[in-house]
Amino acid sequence: MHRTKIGYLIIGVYLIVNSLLFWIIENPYNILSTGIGDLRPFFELSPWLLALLIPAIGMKSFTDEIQNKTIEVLFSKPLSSSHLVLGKFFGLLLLICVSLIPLLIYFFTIQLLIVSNGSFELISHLSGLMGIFLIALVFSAITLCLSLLLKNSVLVLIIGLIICCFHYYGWFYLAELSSSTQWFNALKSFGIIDHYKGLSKGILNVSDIVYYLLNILLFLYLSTLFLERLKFQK
Amino acid sequence: MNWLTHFLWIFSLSVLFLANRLHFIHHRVDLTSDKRYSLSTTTIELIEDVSQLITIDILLSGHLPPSFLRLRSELDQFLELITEKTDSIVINMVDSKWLENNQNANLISENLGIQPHYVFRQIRNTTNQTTVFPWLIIHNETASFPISLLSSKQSLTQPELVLESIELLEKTLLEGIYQAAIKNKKNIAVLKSNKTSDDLYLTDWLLSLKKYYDLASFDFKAAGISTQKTYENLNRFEVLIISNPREEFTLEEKFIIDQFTCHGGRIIWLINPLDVNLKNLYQTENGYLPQINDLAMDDLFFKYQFRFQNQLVADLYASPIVLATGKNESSQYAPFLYPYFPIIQPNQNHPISNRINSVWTRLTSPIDTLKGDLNKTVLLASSEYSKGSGYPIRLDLKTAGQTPEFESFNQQHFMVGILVEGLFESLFTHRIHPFDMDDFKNNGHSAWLVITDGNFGENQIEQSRPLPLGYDKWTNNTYENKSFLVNSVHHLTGHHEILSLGQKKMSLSQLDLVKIERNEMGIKLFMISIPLIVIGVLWVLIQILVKHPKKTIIN
Repeated sequence: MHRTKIGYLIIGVYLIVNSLLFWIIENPYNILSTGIGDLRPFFELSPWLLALLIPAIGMKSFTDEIQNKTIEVLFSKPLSSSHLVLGKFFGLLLLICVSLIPLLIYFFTIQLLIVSNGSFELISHLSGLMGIFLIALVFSAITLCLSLLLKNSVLVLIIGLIICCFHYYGWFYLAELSSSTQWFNALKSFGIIDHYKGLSKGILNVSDIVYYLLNILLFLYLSTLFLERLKFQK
Repeated sequence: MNWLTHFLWIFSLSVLFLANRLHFIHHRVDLTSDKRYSLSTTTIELIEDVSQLITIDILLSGHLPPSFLRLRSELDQFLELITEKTDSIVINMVDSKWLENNQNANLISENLGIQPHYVFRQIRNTTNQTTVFPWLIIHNETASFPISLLSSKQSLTQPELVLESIELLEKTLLEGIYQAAIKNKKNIAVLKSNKTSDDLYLTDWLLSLKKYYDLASFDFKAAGISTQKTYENLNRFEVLIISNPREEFTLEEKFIIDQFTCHGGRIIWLINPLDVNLKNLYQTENGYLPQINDLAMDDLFFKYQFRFQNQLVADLYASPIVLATGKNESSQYAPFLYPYFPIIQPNQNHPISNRINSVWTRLTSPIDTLKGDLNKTVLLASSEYSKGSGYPIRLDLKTAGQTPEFESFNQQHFMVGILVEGLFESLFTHRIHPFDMDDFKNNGHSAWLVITDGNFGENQIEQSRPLPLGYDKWTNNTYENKSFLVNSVHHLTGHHEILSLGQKKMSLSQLDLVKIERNEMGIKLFMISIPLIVIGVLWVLIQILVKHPKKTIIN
């Protein structure tokens, strides 16, 4: 139970940062000062915040178990490596839901503030929220993977942050350095941002969803392989 | 872990990988309520018809202010949709560092007329200035077309301007592509004889038409050409523009115009039924009496079911004119409302004018339409507070200084611009033909646009250089005469696809600033309290759900 206290703290800080950024502090992403009735600034900035949030809530998934040797207890139970990884993954998923669901209040606030003859586009905003949720899942799979590789949970947080940021935007940055259009398009399509832009605006593309599923499964599979290796080392 | 689990993992991974790489499920759904990110069918047809290589240079790059970031992202979105549909359009980003260099900025400003836009942002006490280039350059194999992404409306604030530009983005972009892609330009003739407007006054209008059409001047009185030959020459053109004629047409010329119409040629008439003249108006001290501007065309106009009233329209919705008051050194320039210069809101239900704001007319006269089979659409009509001043009338500028008698402006909606469409019958069917015509036709489908303001298409001139059409240098106001006339030509030539490019209205709703002002503190307090509430609820939930099982274990 000692872990949940830090969980409260992380989720609380995440929500407070969101409130400050989008509603309170005067900055280009402040929704009240853009004067436009949609959550574009929120969707633009959220992946970056998630790159900090997810490694923070997932950093201790396996590192603590390994350090405290409780992992032996888990190994002794009749559970396969895949089950262990998926169990941890769904635990993270629950925490993500808890941190994202309160943000639905933003939708209702905007709906109340919009000019009387205007309308709030709920459906395209829900597709944006789905994009954010899928990104969070990819980030948690990455964090799980790292928490099996690295011994120190702070290291997981820092390296997780770097890898998540790179996977979100870095590919696009690399693509911009390339000279030919083929390389540009190929490198760009590895990055999350390329598959998130459409979702965040309300364009649902099947190939984008496939991309997210592929990423989640890939990192979860890597995690099971790492866990397997750990099991046989002992 | 057994082999079966490994196999399941790898199998599902490879299925997803193949699905991702092979692009066989590129199904795309636009969830926005106004289908903002989908192209209209006319647009798709236009893009798929592009057969030559077109390059689009984006100058809007580098470190952009937030409102322009939105514009840029909307632009990228559209360009992506377009490049998905065709391989003949290539996008090229211009390096913002290249533009920051003054020499390069001067170069594009001189060659293409591309001007930077300055964004000022107030951050506490300092003003921050950013330079952006909201422009595209569209190249085809032979020419370059600079396209401004910003709407040219003067009266808007910065965010409104960008929102307006986003709304117009698809139209702007596609008009640019259309210009570059157009292959066989249609021919348009501009009448030079019969004392029509000087070239210099039509420059701005004709330059904007030149992007879409081949223009040529046409002369009824060219020496050494037979009337039959003149007629054949005219028949090569789709549209004839007759702007402000002040000399009567001969019988042969009338016959040619009649037959041109019956063979499908369309005509834009900008006529003053009274011989009014802006020069005379400004220069004579005590005013003058305009005569009737007799073009000897009344019977033809009557045949085509309209006629002019010899009156001038005065309207309370009018533009000011600037007059000097006082004498010599103490003279001041001040604007005065001049009721003979009506400002007109065009018909919002016709494709020509449904996106056009006010247009400016000067010394215009009412049109009467007559019963008949031709389809007559009113495009321009004066407001509900107008009156007709009958001929003879003394025109002077003193009217401007006087307060108008509001009660007398009680006549409503004089028609001053109409579109006549349908089956035009020849005036000469049962008459002697002025000369023998090889392919005389009794009737034919055509369209005429008639506006009773000879100055409607004329731009002002400063230091012998033309100003934009619709811009009044004295009052610094801009009216949309140019878009109206350009749209009219598109309509008459059947280029309806250009007109419908701009049809899509985006419903980006704005926030209610009053509501925000009133509730700002409340919203902020509410937002900061959400995290605390969520954490509280979570804590309570976990206490209830988790503690009890623990106790049972201990017991």
